Amino acid sequence: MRRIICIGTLLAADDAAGPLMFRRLAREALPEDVELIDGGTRGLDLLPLFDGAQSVILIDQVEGFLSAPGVVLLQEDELLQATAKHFDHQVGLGYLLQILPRVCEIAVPELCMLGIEGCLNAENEKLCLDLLRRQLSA
Amino acid sequence: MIKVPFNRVEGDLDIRVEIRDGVVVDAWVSGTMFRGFEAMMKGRGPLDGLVITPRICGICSTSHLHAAALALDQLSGVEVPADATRLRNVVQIAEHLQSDMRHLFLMFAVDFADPCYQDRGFYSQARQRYAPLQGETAVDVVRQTRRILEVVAIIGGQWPHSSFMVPGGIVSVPSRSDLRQCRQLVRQFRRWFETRILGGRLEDWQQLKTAGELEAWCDEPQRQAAELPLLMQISKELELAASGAGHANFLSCGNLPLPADEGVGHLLSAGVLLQGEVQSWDPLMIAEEVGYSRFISESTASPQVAGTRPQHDKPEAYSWVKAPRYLHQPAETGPLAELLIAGRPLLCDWVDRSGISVFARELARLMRTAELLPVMDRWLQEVDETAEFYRNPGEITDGSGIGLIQASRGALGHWVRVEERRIVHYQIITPTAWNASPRGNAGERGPLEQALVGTPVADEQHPIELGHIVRSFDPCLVCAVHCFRNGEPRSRLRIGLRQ
Repeated sequence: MRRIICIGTLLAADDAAGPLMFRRLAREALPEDVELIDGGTRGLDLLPLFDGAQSVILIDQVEGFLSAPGVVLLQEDELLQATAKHFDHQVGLGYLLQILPRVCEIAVPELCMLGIEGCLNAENEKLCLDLLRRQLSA
Repeated sequence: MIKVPFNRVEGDLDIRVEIRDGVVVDAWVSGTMFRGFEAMMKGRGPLDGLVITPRICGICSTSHLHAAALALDQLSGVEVPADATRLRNVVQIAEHLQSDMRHLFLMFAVDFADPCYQDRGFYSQARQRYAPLQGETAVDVVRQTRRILEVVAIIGGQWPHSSFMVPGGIVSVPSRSDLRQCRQLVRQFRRWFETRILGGRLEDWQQLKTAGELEAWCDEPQRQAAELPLLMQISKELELAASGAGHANFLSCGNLPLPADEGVGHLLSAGVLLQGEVQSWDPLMIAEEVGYSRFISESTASPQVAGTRPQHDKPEAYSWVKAPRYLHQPAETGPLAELLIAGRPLLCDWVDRSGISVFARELARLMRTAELLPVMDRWLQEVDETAEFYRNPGEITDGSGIGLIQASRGALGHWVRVEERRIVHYQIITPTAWNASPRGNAGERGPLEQALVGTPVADEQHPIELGHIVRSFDPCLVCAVHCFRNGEPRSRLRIGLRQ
C-alpha cells in the first residue's frame, strides 16, 4: 500500500494547502494501491498510517524552501534533514518522521514530501499534480 | 531575549520575566497569535461544530468533539443513552492517556536530559530514558500511545478525524468483537503502565493514601527500573516539589459525565477551590476578562454572550489570550485541579505537606492515568452492543447550550447559541486560556504568571527552572498552525528579561 497524506488545516490560511490538495485529489482517479488520507494536524497520531506502508508521500504547506511561490519535492534525506531541527521539544510531524525507524513495527516506508510554498493557487495545484503523477509512476 | 524551545506541537507562547537578585519578581505570559475560530462558526449549521471544532487542536480533538456534542445535547434537551456515554468516555480516556504519557515523557522529562544537568546524579539515567528520539522510555511511550489510540479508531469508526459523537449519542456502533479488541488494548496498556511507569500493580498503588507511603513505594528496590522512582529522585534533587506554586485556586468542570444509569454528575466531580475553600460550582460565574488582552471590551464578560473582537493596538494589552475568571479570580485547571477537587487522599496529603508544585502537577497526571485505566476497562465491559446508542434529538432550530468537560489539560467549554437553524454565537474557553491567561481586569496575574514569581534562576542565559514550571502546566496555545519551515521552527517558548 502506498499512501498520500495531506497535512494541515483549513482553519488557518497559512496551513491550508495540504487539505485543499486533499479535496482536489479526492476527485482524481488514483492507482488502486494508493490511499489518500486527510492527515490534518495530528502529528504523532499519524504513526499507524506510516507503519507498514510501502511509501508515503506527504503534501504540506512549506516556508523558506523556495524563493518564490511554487512546489518543491523533498526526497527522504532532504525531508529528514529539514525536520531534524523540529524535534527538540515538539512531538509533531517532524518528530514522527525522525523517530519512525525506532517505532515502526511492520515496516518503515519510503518518504517524500511535496511542499507547497505559498498558497494553493491554480499554478501550484498543477505543479503539485504533475509532481505527484511523476512520483507515483516512478 | 533568551529563547528556549517550546514543548507543543504548535503555537507560540511568550514568557517574559523580571529577575532581581537571581529571583523572578514578576512575569507576563502572552499568546502571540489571534485565532478567531469562534468567528468562523457564526452563520453555520448547528452540527458544523462537531466537524470544525475538533480540528482546532492537533492533540485534543476528541475533547473538542465531546464538548461540542455536549453543548448540542443540552441545547436539544435529549438524554444520551447510558452506553453511548460510556463509549464517549472511553474514547475521551484514550485521549487523556496518550496526552498525559506523551506530555510527561516526551515534553516534560526531556529537560532532565539537558546537558546543564550533566553533573547531577540522575543525568545518565535521564539521558538514557528521556533523550529526544533516542531515550528508551521516549520511544516506548510513542509505541504504547499509538496502541491505545487504536481504541479511538475502533469506536470512532474513522482515523484520523473521528466525528462519531453527535447530539443524542454516537453514530458508530461497535460490535462485540470491537469491544473485546478495545479491552485487550486497554489491558496491554495497563500492564505496560504498571511495569514501566509505576513499578507495581494498580491494586497496590490504589492503597497509597499518604505522601509517606508514596515515598516508601518509590524507595522499594524492585521498583527502581520504573519511571516514578526516577522522577521522584529527580524531583528531590531539583526541588521540584517546592517550585511553581501559583495562586492555589483550582477549577474543574468535572471529568467524564456519568452514564445515565450510574447517576448524575461526573466520575471526577466538578468544583472550584479558591484559596483552599470549596466554592459552589456554577458555570454562570465564569467570565472572560480582557483588560490586558488584545480584544475589545464587551458590555458583558459572560461567554454565553460576549464575542471575540480583536483590537491589536489596545493600550496595556499584551496577549491574544483572554483571561477567564471564576468569581473574578484566576484559577488553575488540569489533572491536579481535578484530583484535588475530587478529594483523592494521596494527592491531598502530598499537597498538604509539600504545597502546590511542579511535581504535584506531574504526580496528578500519573494518578489520573492510574485511576482511569480500570474505569475504562469496566465501561467497555458494561457496554451492551445491542443496546441503544442514539436518540434522535430532532431538528436543532433555536436555543442555547453549554458543553463543559475536562480535556487532558483541564477545563474546556463550548458555548453555542442557535437561531433559525444557524449558529449565531460560539465561544470556546480552552484549558490553556485558564492557565496561561494574562492579567485580569483587576491586574492580578494569571495562574502560570503567578507560578513563576519567586523562582530562583541560576543561569539567566538558560533558565531551565522556568521551563520546568511552564511545562508542568502542559500549555497548548494557538492550535492548528504547523506549516513546515526551513530553518528555525516557529513554535517557541521564549523566556527572557523584561526590557
